Amino acid sequence: MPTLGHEEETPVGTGHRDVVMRIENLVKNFGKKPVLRGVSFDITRGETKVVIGPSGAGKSTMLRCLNRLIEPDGGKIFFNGVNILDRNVNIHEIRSKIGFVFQHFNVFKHLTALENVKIGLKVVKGLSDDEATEKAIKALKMVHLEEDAYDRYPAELSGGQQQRVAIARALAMEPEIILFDEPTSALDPQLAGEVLDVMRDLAKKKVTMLIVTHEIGFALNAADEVLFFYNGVIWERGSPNDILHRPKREETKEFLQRIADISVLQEAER
Amino acid sequence: MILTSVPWHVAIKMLLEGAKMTMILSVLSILLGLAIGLPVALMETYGNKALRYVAMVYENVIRGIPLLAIYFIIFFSIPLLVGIGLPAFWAAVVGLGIRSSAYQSQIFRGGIQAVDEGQLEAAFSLGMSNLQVIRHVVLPQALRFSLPAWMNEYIIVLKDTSIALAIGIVELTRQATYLVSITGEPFKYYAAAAVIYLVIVLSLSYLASYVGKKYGIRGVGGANVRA
Repeated sequence: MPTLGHEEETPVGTGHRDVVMRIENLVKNFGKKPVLRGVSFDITRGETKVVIGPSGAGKSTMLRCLNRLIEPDGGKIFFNGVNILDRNVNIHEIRSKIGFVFQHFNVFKHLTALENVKIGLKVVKGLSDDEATEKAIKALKMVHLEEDAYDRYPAELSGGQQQRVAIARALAMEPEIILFDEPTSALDPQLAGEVLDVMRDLAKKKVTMLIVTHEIGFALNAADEVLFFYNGVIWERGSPNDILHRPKREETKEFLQRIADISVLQEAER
Repeated sequence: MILTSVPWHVAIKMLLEGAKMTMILSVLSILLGLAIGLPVALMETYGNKALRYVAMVYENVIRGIPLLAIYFIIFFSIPLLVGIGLPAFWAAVVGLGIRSSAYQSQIFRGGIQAVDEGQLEAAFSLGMSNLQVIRHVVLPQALRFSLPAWMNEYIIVLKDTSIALAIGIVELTRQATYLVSITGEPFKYYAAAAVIYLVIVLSLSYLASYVGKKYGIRGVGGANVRA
């Protein structure tokens, strides 16, 4: 007999494996150009999944489809068993449970670091100012933001600090999964390091994460699985070791070689 | 023609009474313009095709009519058509307010468009509804971006209150004109009126830069305001 509980589970997945998100045959076209041509994969609770691939492969588009910042043209996205592409789904409520971290941080420019983390708690979750402050400070501590930066505006923070505030903003909402869209691409290596440290921490704490990134080192030591996107599909997938050290397909090898060349060049420049 | 002389303290009192009306008229008009202009700007930026079209037509029609004609339409033509009209004071407020709304909507549209797309994406991804995004993210930034141009618009409205003398409003320019007509000393009284306008405008510019500094945030504009 069904209970009145709001956490009623719709049976999806393979039984005992706890699937947070199941993506089925996701399709997206920009005009006539296909960007996603049938992408399917699961994200299990507690997992860190990394997506790599050349630009234009559809990685960012895929990520934005998962909380419907972009409307997909086809396929299904199950979040806790509910297809979020169904018309009667309250997408705002779904989004509040899916964290999103952007390449260009997108912290709110008119709010201080602390206010940035509080606003979702107050406006979306309806928390009181005190409750929001308490949760926000907890989240800011998790991303190791320096305390004297709490009351500063984004323009007064470094890129690394801004991105950590953005991660705290997502964390504070206590989402079931956080999506990262190239979170370190706009940062120089030192500041990228700060952000990657935080993400490594979260991976250890078993926060469910789907991360689009070019940071191969991070993928190697933090990811549970790596997906290589190419031409709008998952071209190759597997453990970080297999994909990054023993790729099977030519395109994967080529991509990794190019990334390696770039990091060697960056190394040489320094 | 018999010309009288007017004692200076009487003249100043008359001019200041006019200045007071000028201020009241300008404040009410700019507020009415704000109440219409801001929603029009939101319609133009986020509305569907029909709303955008309505807003665009409104803006262009109003901006295409001279203020004096707007006054005459409101004060003389509409009462003839519908049988009742507004008292001169309210006709002046409505005329100036409607005219200003078309310019204010352009100012706010610019401010709204200056808000980075990424700010909206971030707000939506937190789970905010459209209205929450507008209220908590778009407006706080857009209004700051718009502040310098908006203060400029206020100064224009203030100076254009003088046209209300055409429908009999006793404001600053009307008082100066009256003094000139009874004394025959145009230079003295128009110069006095000009000085009063100037003092008001300069004070407002000062106020604007103070507001800009107090509420401006680095990276969100609004810090520099010039008359």
